[in-house]
Amino acid sequence: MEKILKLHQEFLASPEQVEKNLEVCHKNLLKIKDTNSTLCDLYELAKIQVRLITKKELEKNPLAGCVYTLKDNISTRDIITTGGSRFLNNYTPTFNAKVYDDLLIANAVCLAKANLDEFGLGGTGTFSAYGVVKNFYNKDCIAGGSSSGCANLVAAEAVNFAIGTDTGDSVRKPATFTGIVGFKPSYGLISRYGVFPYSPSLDHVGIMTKHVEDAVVVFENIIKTDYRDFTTQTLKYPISLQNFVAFDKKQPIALFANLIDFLEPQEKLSFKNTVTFLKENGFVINEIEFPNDLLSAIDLTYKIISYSEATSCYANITGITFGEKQTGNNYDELLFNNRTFGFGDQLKRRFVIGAYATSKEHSKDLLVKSQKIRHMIVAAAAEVFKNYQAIIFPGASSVAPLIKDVEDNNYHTNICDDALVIANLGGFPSISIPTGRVNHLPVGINLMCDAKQDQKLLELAIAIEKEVKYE
Amino acid sequence: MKITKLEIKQLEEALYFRVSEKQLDELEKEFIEISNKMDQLKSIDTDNIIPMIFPLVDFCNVLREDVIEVSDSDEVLSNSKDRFGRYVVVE
Repeated sequence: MEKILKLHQEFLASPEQVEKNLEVCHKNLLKIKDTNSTLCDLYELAKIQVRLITKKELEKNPLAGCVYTLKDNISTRDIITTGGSRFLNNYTPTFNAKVYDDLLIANAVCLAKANLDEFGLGGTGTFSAYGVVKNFYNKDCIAGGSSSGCANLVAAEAVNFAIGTDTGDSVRKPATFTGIVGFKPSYGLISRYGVFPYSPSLDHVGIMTKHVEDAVVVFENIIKTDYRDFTTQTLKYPISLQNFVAFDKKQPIALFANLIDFLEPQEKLSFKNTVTFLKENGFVINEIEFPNDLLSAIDLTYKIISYSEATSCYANITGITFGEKQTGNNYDELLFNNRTFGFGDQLKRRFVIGAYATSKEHSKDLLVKSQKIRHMIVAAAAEVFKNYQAIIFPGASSVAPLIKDVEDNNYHTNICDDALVIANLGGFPSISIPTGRVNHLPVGINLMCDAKQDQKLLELAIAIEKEVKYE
Repeated sequence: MKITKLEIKQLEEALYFRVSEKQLDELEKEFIEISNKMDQLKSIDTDNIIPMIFPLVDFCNVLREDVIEVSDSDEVLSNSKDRFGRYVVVE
């Protein structure tokens, strides 16, 4: 029984434990204040909420009384939601995101809004208008991004779970860098209503926890078709931990052998040891080759598609109807001043590339070509799923890099990291789980299944987590 | 595919923001990288491939009745920095 279900038992046996859990979480949150993980501390509000939770409500839902954080690109009515941007410094949504509403109904307790790369556009946690997020394990290193604050808060046990968003690997990569579980379900299973967009054809809401079973319990509560998000999808089966069965280890898992040489030496050794260990414990893992030209194409394909979609999404932020407003002698000047002041450098860079890729002259060669290659990558992955139940990847090509290296542009990702994006391109469910440490920093593996095979993926992750026994 | 600083500046104009000179230099370099990578991608034969604009094949939209929901206009307007009664002041 993992953290959330254990807490649930404790709450039922002794309801005063709800307040105690909140207190402990908040103490842990304050302990990591210098990591810059939190944008808004909601402790006072949370204290009121836990006092109002009845025993009946505790019995009704295992999430009742559990403490969590929301990435600050998720709308919370009457609570400032900045998206990590200077533009929305004082923006207060007038409605709740569906995922927040569902968690309110479950009587889960939101303790904080978590820091992120501005509007989720960044993979390092160094592009928030409110400062760089430092890794909980080593403050000289990044926590990964863009769900950086969420990852640290879960790792530090300042919350029992976190809700983040994942467009490329933004839940799973920071999860690996901070030694926790990061789960991105199939496309559309969690409503994105009220979630700030980055790239709508790639955006997912994801869950971050200490253990896989905890992610399942949270998932059960927020997987819902939503009439306000017309892209939400429905599974043919209900997700419930009670319906889960033990993963049949004889079902083959594929490993893309051509990725392994892109791992840093010690990380490579750790990954190989994990795979060997799993094989020794009965898992069938076969090395196969994924087409090299497609692996090499993932990075640019992702960039062109996501930057193009982002450029379009953020055309509505003018600073006039909402957001920070500067001064200007006329409408054009006002817009220029608002958008020049409000957007960070990383956003502007991505928007310029997106605008170029969507321009009349270049869209065929860049955007349409990328969308075609996306189709080929997804089709190649679907081919793999004809013979394999799942694919296993390294969680990242290296442990969390130094902040200095990221800022000096000395940190480079490679196709080993890019491979996680396949899950976004094809809407495949994907989960990263910790397996150990290299140089005192966490390392992990990632697992991916065919679209809507979320239960199978989670059953596999539970089975592997039990074998690896990482703490 | 080659892009000049002037073209980048034209894109800025269209996007309604300015970037610093330092960023302009970085963007110029990045466009060269993108161009080189794009040249590599050209070798991938995409003839007869349908562009994928949505991740799922068996996708269906969730449709609903078009029901009017009334919002509190004062509340909605509260995020505007400059207001005159129930209007947003542009300039």
